[in-house]
Amino acid sequence: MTPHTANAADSPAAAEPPVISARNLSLFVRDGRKRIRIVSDVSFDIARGEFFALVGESGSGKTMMARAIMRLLPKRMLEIEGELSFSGVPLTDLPEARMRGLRGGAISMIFQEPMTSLDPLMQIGRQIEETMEVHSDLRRKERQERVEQLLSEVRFDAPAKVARMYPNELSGGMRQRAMIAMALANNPKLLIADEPTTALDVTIQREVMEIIQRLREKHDLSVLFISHDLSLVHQYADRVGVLYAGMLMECGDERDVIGSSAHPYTAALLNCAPRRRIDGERRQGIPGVVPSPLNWETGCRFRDRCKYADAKCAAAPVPVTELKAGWFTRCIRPLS
Amino acid sequence: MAIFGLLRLAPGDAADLLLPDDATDEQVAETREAWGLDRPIWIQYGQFLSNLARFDLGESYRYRAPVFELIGERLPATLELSFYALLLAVVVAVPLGVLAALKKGKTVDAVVSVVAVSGVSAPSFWVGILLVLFFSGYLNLFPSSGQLPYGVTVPEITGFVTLDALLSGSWDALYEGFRYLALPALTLALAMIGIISRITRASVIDAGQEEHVFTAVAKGMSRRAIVRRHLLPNAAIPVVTIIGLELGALISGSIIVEVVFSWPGIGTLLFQAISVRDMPLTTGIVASYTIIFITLNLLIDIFYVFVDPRLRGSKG
Repeated sequence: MTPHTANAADSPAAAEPPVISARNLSLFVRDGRKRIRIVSDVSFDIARGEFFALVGESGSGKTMMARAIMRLLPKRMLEIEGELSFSGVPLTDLPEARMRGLRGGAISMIFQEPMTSLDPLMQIGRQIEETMEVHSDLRRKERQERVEQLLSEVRFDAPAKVARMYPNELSGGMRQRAMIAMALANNPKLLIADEPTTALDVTIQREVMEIIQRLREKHDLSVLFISHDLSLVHQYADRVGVLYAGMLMECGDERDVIGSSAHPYTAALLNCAPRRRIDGERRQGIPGVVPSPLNWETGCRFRDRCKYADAKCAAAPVPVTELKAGWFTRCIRPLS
Repeated sequence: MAIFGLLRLAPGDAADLLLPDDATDEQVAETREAWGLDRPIWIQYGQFLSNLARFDLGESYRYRAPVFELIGERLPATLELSFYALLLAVVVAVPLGVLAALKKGKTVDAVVSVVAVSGVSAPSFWVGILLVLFFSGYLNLFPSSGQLPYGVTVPEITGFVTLDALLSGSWDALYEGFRYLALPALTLALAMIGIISRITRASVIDAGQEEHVFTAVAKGMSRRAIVRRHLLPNAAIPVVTIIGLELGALISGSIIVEVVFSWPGIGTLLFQAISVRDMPLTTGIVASYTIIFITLNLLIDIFYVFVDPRLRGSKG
């Protein structure tokens, strides 16, 4: 294993606080009187310009993580415990007005469903302009120029024409590109992409990913990429966090986590990926299902589905082990 | 056709109505021939249809005047009343519905629900009488019947009292016109307020769950700006639909309300025509209600195109 320097802690610019820093972060949703823990004790950093991928099955809490960073859900629905900060600014108890200043400004987000994420009754250009109205004092004329510039950055050939179109006149891929243009309107430091390509077909997927990648390099943008598509993660991510049942099972450089997975869950997940079917053998999924947040017990949450598990895995909460600088796993018998 | 058939089936002979009680059989036969009542029913129906196509609705038995003219004289009053009732209903119900949706589950929401349900449940003839008792009987604030007080007239330009008063600058008549409109319009509006406010509430709540509202939050927009720019425009579409459907209720409601308030519109005229089995007049009025209803629905459909870009052809 060669040392890898994309990690914030190792880089010479370590004086600058990470764009996102989560320490022992737990999330709770409220359902009437019940308070359900959906994410437990998660810690990770995203450095400036870094492409961080958060992977996991449905229900693992990935989307909730994204929503927590943006504080998209009101406090009475989503509670945050632990530390969460953006460029050194703690987000957990930032007043709503200041949070609003960050949303769409320094932190922006694109969503899974480009078909429904745009207002059907408003022209594309107007929707992009709206973001600028909130965060900048550009005049109308300047905003319109910027809209066209943004639309051509996401590779629209006729940006002026697209700006006057309504969402129903665009295809899924075009809408997602328009969403990216909107997210970039105020030169954010962090782009949260919540499964941005899941609803798109493969060729369009590639196009969208290339655009994100190019803009990231051009604008020194950090990306929090939420996905369950490991081939995309392998291709684009610098660092990877693997979330399972609300716990970060493994986190580290892409080469380590994907290349020589330490946690049996990561290994099992990779084994399901279709790109590994070159031997013609049909891959089986991981037997069993993700335990619901309602029946989480002490010990490893993956143990019922893990082929290496024994009594020790159930006995006590599994501590985080640092395998090497910046590579962590939550397993008592790591594979590597 | 149903109207035509039912009216012919109803007991009573039109000729009896046209003639004094002591008319001889000969006179009756003569009258029947003159009005075409002796011919077979399908011939009468065919005649009716071909006349209708030429805007000839026949002659009223009772008023001995062309039905078309009678309706023309009374129609503006009905349209005016309906217009203000609808305006009042929309102006009251839409904000109420929006408020209830934004304060979902709170006291305001519950209060609006109670008001809405009572508005829908109370029959308008009963509400009308209560309003008359209270506002004109007890408080003596608003007149209980008619369109204008005796002696006040407006020059007839369009036939719509308030519009004519405005155009001719007769401020007294304008004021009186609105005073006379108040109670019937309110009665008519109450029934619609209930339904429109409920639908508005539901569609604002639905619109709030759309994903693009999330996008707007993620843009950093304030709650207020999101409601105004994204929620309300999207909620407007089902509200417009229900207003279109409510036009039917408005028309049928206006007949009763006109009778209760002696409003000189076609509703009162229809009531009188039915009472004396004035067939041409009845069929004529019912046909005009149908035409009004169809026209209004067409207007609503055209309106959609302006609101919803998805219904417009691609400009691409």
